[in-house]
Amino acid sequence: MALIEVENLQKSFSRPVRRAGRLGALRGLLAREYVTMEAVAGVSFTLEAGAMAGYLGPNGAGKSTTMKMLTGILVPSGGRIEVGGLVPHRQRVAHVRRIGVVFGQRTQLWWDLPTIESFELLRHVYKIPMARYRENLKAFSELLELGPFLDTPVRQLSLGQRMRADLAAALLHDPAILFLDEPTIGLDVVARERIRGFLSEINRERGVTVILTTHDLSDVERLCQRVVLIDHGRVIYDGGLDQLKTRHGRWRTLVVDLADASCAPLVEMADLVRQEGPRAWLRFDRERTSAAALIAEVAARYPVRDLTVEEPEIEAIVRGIYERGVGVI
Amino acid sequence: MDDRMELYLAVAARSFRRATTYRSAYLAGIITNAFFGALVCFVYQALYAGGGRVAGLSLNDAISYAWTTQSLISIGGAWIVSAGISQSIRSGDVITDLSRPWSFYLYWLSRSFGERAFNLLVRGALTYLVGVLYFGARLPAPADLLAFLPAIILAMQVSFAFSFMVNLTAFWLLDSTGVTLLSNVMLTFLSGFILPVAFFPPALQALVHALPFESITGLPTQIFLGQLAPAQIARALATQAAWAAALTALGLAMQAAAMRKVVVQGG
Ligand SMILES: Nc1ncnc2c1ncn2[C@@H]1O[C@H](COP(=O)(O)OP(=O)(O)OP(=O)(O)O)[C@@H](O)[C@H]1O
Ligand SMILES: [Mg+2]
Repeated sequence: MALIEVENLQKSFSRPVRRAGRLGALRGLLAREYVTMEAVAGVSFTLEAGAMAGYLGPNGAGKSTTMKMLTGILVPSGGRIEVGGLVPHRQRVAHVRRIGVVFGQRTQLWWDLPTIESFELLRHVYKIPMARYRENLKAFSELLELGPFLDTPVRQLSLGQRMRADLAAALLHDPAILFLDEPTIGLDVVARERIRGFLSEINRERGVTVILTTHDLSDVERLCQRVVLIDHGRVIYDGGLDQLKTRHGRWRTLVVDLADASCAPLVEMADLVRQEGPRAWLRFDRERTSAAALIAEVAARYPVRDLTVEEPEIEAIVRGIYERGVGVI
Repeated sequence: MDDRMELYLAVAARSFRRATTYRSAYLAGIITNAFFGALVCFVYQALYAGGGRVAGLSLNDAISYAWTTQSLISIGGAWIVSAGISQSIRSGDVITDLSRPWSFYLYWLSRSFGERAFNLLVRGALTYLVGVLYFGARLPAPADLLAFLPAIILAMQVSFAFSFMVNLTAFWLLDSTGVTLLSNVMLTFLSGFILPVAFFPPALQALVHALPFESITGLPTQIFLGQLAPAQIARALATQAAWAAALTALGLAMQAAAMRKVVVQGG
């Protein structure tokens, strides 16, 4: 049996409809009409122990909703979840003892107290034996360089420091599984890299199974062998990242910095998708145009200062899948 | 419920420490409470100008009562003081507290007790000291102080259970400010915060005695000031204990219902 089994998982939310017209608001108060929105519409996947998987999708795809159901804080409207033989929302307490959770946009640390105080509290919460607690604290402090701010109130931490502290907090009790919802959101390249290094270390050395959502494909490239891609609450791809990129990630963007802001770089082989001052974004199909040819063409015709080729974003890959059909999986 | 005393003590200790970090907030609190305490006293001094007693209370009784209730504001004696739970529901931060192996209720109860212990011992005590020094508010007799201890602990339990339920409506209503406003009006008037219940007309007194709010402010205040005979103290404590048990049970039932339909906001 796999560690995580998700079968036809569903979650729908109902939202009151706002009515038009002058009396709309009043009528809305008296008799509300609801629309149902299917945030997760039948997701299935399994994950083996020890794996590190990316759960990806565009904004509003249903990633966070799925994570909330996996961690037991949201009750599914349908389908089945089992994590290590437990049903998260039914056996919540037993379940949460074995998992670590980080929601990148929130913190689990006490805002007004020094970071170490929240760690100490977690020792009580999970009844972590003192020796083990010290060991873990030492290991995480080294790996994540927490030392300089352990005594600083959380509200004074930078985003990167807070995220590192949150990661350590999620792992102090030696969870078997770590759920991460956008653990790198808003971080700079250095901070991101440090977090990635840490995650791959705890996955490798401690065997922690990790499932993470992110909008940054380089996170996934660095960390995940396995990718589950969802859109509109449905799985549209499940497999390796390499295949996904070779089959569907055909779009690349060439970012051009022009010496002269007044001209628009128009070429046959790419579409100008955006232009801001001297910087322009050209989208091209990697299968039909090579980056080298495009660069040569642009450089020959326009005064270029700098050029970079951007890897496809999740959104572009999703677009690629729709253009070629889901069946290609 | 839960046998993890040591965890909840750790929560309360941190909450206490957290409260100490807001020095300017509690200083401002003391000044505000003392200001209104003084204002009420001036009114009483004018009303009692002819001397005598009103509903059995002397001027000094009334003044001491006013300072006691002002001192109890920061532990929830006048209106709901901590909106932490509903805020965390609204913002979605509640997510972390829900994914912990603890009782959500007891977690917030310990947080509230830690904070209120500080408020009582520092904010409340200092406010009352102002009343003692400048308006001759009465210092309690040792025996009354002893009875006040269980009374105030029960009061905080009743007050917490009530505010917990009000806050928890945020799970359904998203925004609990309306309910909070309404609850605060009831709490302010029916708890004996504004006026001693003895000043109320008989019909209103009967209503007050039938509701839990008096257990939060009126009863502990009367005990503190030695206005109750031993038998009355015993009855007051029993009333408080009954309300504490009833509202806690209700609060837990409401929590169970909320958990079943939990909707956590935001990504
Ligand atoms: N509490 C809620 N009530 C109503 N609708 C909701 C609620 N939570 C989420 N939704 C809707 O469900 C859909 C999926 O939301 P979800 O937060 O899971 O997306 P996501 O994939 O995490 O997106 P993002 O990448 O932007 O974080 C969205 O359309 C959202 O509007
Ligand atoms: Mg999200």
